[in-house]
Amino acid sequence: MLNVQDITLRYGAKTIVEALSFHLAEGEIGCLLGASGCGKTTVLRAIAGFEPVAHGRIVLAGVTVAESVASVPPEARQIGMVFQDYALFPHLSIAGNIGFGLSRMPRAERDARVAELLVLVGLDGQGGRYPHELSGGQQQRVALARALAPRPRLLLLDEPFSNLDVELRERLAQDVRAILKAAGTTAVLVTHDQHEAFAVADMVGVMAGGQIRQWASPYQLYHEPADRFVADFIGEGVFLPGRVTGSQCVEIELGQICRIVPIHCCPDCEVDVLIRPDDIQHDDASPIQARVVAKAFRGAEFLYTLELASGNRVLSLVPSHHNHAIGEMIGIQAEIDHVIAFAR
Amino acid sequence: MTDSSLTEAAILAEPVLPARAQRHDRRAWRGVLYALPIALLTLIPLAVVLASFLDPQPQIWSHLAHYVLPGVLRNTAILMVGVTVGVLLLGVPLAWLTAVCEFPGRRFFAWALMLPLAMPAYVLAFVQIGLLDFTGPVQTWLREVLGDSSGFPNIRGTGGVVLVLSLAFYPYVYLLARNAFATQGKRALEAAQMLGVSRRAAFFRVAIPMARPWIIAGVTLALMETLADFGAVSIFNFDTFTTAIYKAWFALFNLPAASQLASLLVLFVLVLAVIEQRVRGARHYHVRSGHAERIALIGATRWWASIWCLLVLLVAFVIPLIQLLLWVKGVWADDFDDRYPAFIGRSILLAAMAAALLGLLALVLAYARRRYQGRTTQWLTRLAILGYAVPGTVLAVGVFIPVAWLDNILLAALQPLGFEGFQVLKGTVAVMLLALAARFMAVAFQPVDTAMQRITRNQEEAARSLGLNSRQALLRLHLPLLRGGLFTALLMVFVDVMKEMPITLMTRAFGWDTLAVRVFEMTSEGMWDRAALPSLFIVLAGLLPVFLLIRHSERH
Repeated sequence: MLNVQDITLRYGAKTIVEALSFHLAEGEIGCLLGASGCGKTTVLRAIAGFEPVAHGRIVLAGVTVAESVASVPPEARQIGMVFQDYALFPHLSIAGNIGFGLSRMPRAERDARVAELLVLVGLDGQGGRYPHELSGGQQQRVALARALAPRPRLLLLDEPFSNLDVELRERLAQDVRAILKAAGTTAVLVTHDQHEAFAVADMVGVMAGGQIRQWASPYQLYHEPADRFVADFIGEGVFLPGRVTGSQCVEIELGQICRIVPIHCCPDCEVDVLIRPDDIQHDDASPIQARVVAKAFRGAEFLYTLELASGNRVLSLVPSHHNHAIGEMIGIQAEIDHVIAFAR
Repeated sequence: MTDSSLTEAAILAEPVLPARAQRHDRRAWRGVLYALPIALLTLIPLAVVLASFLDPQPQIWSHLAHYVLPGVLRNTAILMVGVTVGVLLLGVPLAWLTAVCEFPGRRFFAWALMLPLAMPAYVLAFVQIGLLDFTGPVQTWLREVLGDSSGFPNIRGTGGVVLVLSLAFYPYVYLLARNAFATQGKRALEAAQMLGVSRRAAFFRVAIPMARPWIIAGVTLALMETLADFGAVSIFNFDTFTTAIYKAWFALFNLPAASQLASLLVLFVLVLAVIEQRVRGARHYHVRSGHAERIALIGATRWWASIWCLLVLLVAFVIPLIQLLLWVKGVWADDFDDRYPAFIGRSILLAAMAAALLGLLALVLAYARRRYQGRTTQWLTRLAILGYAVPGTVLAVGVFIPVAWLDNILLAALQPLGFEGFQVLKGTVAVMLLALAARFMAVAFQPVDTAMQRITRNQEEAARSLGLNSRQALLRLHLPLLRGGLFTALLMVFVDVMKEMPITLMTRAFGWDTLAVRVFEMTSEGMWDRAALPSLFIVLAGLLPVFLLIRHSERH
């Protein structure tokens, strides 16, 4: 459906994005995830047609919409966009905003489509109000409805939740996913927040320095990160030094873990093993003792930072009825399902 | 959906867009195409006038240096210093009182002190003379009570001019300083007091320095108006550049001398324009503090504050307005004859034509600047609105000279074809409109451009992603959102043109006597009461944009 092939984007002489590719199937929701300045928004704007591509091409539904020699102007791409600040039109009512891109439709049909979208985004009967009368969350839904109204072949969302309260974000992210899935829309989301990315997207691309470091499902990103950067960027965790002891096993301070072969590693290689907080279980009976050096209360659980005998530190998520003081020694045990190790 | 006809159709619909850098250049060039002709409206008259400075004519110069310049330069220097002191003394304290303090009547004075903006300096000038002159009501009353008024200062002297211009132009300082004091908030003052500085010292060490860019901007605007003023100084017979230019042209019929004088005046003005542009960059808006708690004045001080505000309001606006009404009452029956509908009609027609023309040009300029962001376009825009700093007398000379030159060429071309007459463009309304357009471009441009800035890039891109090309976006997005700004622009130009005196007077087409021209004619003969009638109409019209301004500043 959307095929971004090897694109390079530049501002003047400065290269923002280099040789970036990804692919989305019909109805799939993709996400570009990365810190600010990584080039993710520029990619989105290139797909929309607001930035020219210097190299490579963008193919939408089998039609090349952008390459270095020619490009289809934004208004002819049939791509919808939801902006970070929503960019609603203050002089038009909600219905006027949603119907803005439908001016070629006969009036009755247009009204019906607007009403349909108001229902879809949960603003039924509010079409006569004006943008400034709505809350941030409602404005966001209007922006979504306006972009969906002309039935775009692709929907782009640029940091759509960043102007909302934290509590609202998660709920709206789920709502947006439901709306997009209900409409069967193919979409690309751009965000710096991995929770948003995981809540909305089917496929996520972790971006840094103008490149996609890994394009995978949220589950894979967390449990099978392709490189150290992705492992570091996604979720919490630490690296513990280890030694490959056999074809299936790695020896670390917390014992021998045998499950997945660390690829590229010969026996006796020195490796770093990724330890997630959920890999470390609190177990009073365990012979391995660690000292609590910091703790963060998260409601249902504590995130403990624990110092091992060697001085290395690991993180551990522990149900919050286990309230230990800083400096206390507690027993822990490693329960690692996905062993991720990188050669040193 | 794999048909490539869509791509082809789309590429045919709009020219193929090459890479960004090239596209940028091409678009910048188009911006210049729109902005340059508009900028030339101002730049040609300025260049013409400055050219005569570069081409000095010894005879004229020696005459000017002997008989004209000493007095003019001295008077101009006195005015600049006097008005600076005057507007600072009036504007800054009033701004401080109404923006930061609390005293009886504060809310009322905050807006009422803007009212003097509605009264042109030339109206204030003759009203104050009429009031305070030997034969005026004040001195007459003094003589009745005390038997003598010889100790009363002479209003027609230098002090009188400075007083009148200060009263007329202090609102610029008042408005800008008030804005600064209101936005800098009380936090900075409180911080200073926490550091052991007394409140009085904090005013001088914190509030004033923070507001300095605004205050300087206000003073520069007041000085620009002072240099540009023609009506008031000619009523006082106080020779400055503007009156000297007028006399050289219309009394001595010496256009080269007029343009030499104009070129000198332009140099003064450009210095001010540069200062104004400089401090504009230094004006940062501070975060408004959450609670706008005012300093409550206590004891007698609060009443002194009220009395001071009331006094300025009375002297600068209320009493002159009452005097105007009294005079009008006296002459109404005799004077309001069938010529008046014609004066008013021509004033309105001229103002409406100028407003329509400038509204259109402002739209083009603001849109060009928005759409084609070349550096050249940005610069041309700044030059195009430079006319606000250039006195009307200068622009009148600068427009007339090239028009006369063009007229000669046109005549040479047309006479063989049987054209009878000795002017084509000269003496037509087109000349007036050209000069007025140069003078008031900024007045029209600023509100339109401000409205344009409020349209975000994302809104434009949203419109495009919804399938609108740039022309459709202009019609359905930009124009509807610019309506408010455009209305303000039209109203302000309309009223400014009605008040305008020197351009209308010097370039007017035959028979185009407007209200302002009538005021000039009556005041040159010292008939204050008969000048009051056209003045009243001008003041009433002038109140419209002041009310708009008041509403705007109340909202903020």
